[in-house]
Amino acid sequence: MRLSETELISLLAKHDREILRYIMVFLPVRVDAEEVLQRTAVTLWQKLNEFDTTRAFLPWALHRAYYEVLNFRKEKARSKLVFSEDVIHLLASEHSEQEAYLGEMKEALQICLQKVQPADRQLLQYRYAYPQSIADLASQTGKTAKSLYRRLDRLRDLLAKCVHERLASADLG
Amino acid sequence: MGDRYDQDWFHRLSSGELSEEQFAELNQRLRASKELRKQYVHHMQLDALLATENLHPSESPESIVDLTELVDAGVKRRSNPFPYLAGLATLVVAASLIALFVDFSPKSVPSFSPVGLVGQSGIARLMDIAPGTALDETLSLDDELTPGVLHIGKGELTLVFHGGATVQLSGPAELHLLSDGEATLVHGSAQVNVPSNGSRFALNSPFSSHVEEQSIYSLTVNANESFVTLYDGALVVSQIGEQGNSYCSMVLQPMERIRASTDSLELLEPTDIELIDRIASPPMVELNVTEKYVELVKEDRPMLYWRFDGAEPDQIRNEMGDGFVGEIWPAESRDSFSFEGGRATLYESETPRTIRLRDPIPNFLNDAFSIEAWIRPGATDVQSILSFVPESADENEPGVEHFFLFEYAEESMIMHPRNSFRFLYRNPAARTNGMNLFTRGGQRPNEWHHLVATKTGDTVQLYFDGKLIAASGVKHHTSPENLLMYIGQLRYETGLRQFIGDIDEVAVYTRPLPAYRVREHYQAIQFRNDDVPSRDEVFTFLH
Repeated sequence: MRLSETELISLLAKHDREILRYIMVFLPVRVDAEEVLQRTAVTLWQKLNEFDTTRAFLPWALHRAYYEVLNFRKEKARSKLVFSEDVIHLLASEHSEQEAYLGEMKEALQICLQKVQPADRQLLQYRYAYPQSIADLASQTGKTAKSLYRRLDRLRDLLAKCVHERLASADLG
Repeated sequence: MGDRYDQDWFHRLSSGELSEEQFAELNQRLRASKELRKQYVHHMQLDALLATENLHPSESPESIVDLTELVDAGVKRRSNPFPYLAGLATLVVAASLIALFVDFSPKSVPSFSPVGLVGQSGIARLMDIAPGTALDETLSLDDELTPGVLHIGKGELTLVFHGGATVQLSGPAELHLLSDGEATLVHGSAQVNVPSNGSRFALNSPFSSHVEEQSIYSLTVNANESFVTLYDGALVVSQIGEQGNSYCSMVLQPMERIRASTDSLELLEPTDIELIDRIASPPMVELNVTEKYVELVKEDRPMLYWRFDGAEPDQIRNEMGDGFVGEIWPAESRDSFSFEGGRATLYESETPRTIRLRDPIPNFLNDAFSIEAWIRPGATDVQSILSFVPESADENEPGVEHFFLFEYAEESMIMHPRNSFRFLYRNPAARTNGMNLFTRGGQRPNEWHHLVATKTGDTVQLYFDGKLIAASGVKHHTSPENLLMYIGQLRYETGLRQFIGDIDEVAVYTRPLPAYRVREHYQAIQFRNDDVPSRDEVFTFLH
């Protein structure tokens, strides 16, 4: 049975963040990752007929996203800031092996974020939503941009440690 | 979770701070290491979760796919309120963050008033200034400050005292700089990091003094009281009486907080300690000697280039040819050295030990030359790092005749900035006189630094971390003697002034390196951060 366009939109809305996160493994620059996400969405629509509705949508979407990453990489071949094709392939394999662990990170992160002070959580939100504004924030608050980035790095490292510990203790049962 | 070095690279990748060369190296490392790929994937997943998930989990996220392209492809459009919400969210977040951080008190321009005593030298350096922190004509970034009074209104400054302590001052504040190991915060806030292997540092308030050799703490001083919170190490806090003496003292432990006033010294109840912006302990960085660095050095054709890579027992290879080989002397002191990691590490020894040229060389110090090394002292005592002495010098005579010397000391019998490197040139070789050039002070142990001493005509120059920092004229003299070179102590017989630490990439040239070339050498080196997460991190968990 063919997937309808309405169903595609619904599935994209449900999974677009996961697809974007997958793409960001290969394309750390957010703008590039979002570009590839858009291309992936178009490709998925164009290949609606090929989707087997008896199977899960997300693996199919990630598979298409992977090839869009490779296509994007070819366009940017002259840039020295894109991973080589073999490294992209290796990262994709690693991502596949870590799928279960990565899938649990979101819930663990939400729990860990609840333990962060409100001001620090807002700083994280600001950093990831509007990264170009950290310099402006530094100017406005009289802090050095360096100190704000340092604080963000420490926050991030502490969150990573918290997530890891939660997932490690979960592994022990 | 991955080691600190790799995490730092991932941070920089996410921030777009990696150069093309660094990105290529990361690409290569990812290709070669499955473990690194695993760490990378975990790191990027966390980063991506922070970037894509709403941090307030009660709200369901909107789609981030721009459906315009699907409309163009013939798919129905649905409204996406996210851009509107994003704009509103920006204002709310920015306003709340500004309210948390901004001080709305009247502005005053930071200024510095030196005390102005004869014979004073610098005791601290202005290392960092927050954007928006206005300075008047008495202050500039990288200034050396003598004892005096520092005012700051809105904004932040970071000072490094020559004794090694780092003080981040948040305005409005007034700080009295007394010496390279003491200051008084009259009012305002300061974050202090006194590193291990640094000198003792005392930051006082009008009500209390705070002294220790290794600690990280914050101090806030108001009109009638002061608060100190300790994050790492230990701190002796004393209530100060009218005469400036200690009435009573407490030893503060990490996560403890004390309130001091004219009539009390009070340990406060434990409270949630926020992750505030504190100065972290300086990371232990390792040299990453790139291929480019080695190429640059070899292009400049040194006559001697010791890299300490894969050193054979008792022999140091010269990368430029068969001559000018080094040896460990005496051979039985081999255990006082290590050559792991492609550098020479020298340990303290009760008996003399040195790395020296196996054979004397003709005196090249009469004319133009350059001597270059990467050095990391591991202690603060006076240490002779690298020296050239005449072959004919009498080993049994007290004192040492030098032509050339690199040394490091916290303090010594001669006047120089605390924790500085010394370059001595004497021609003819003697036990006195000559010309000394010093770095500016505040170079703590366990930090790598690049030193290059050159002679051009009748001028000697000292370059420090790629920059020319001192120069002086010298008299020309031609000494016919051959030279011996020693690394690690003042000659080998005495065992005095042992250099304890690391040295790498020693190069000797028979021509002066131009300034741009010294800078290129320095910039070709990369540093690796092998630091583990420091104990000064305070997590905001509520236990």
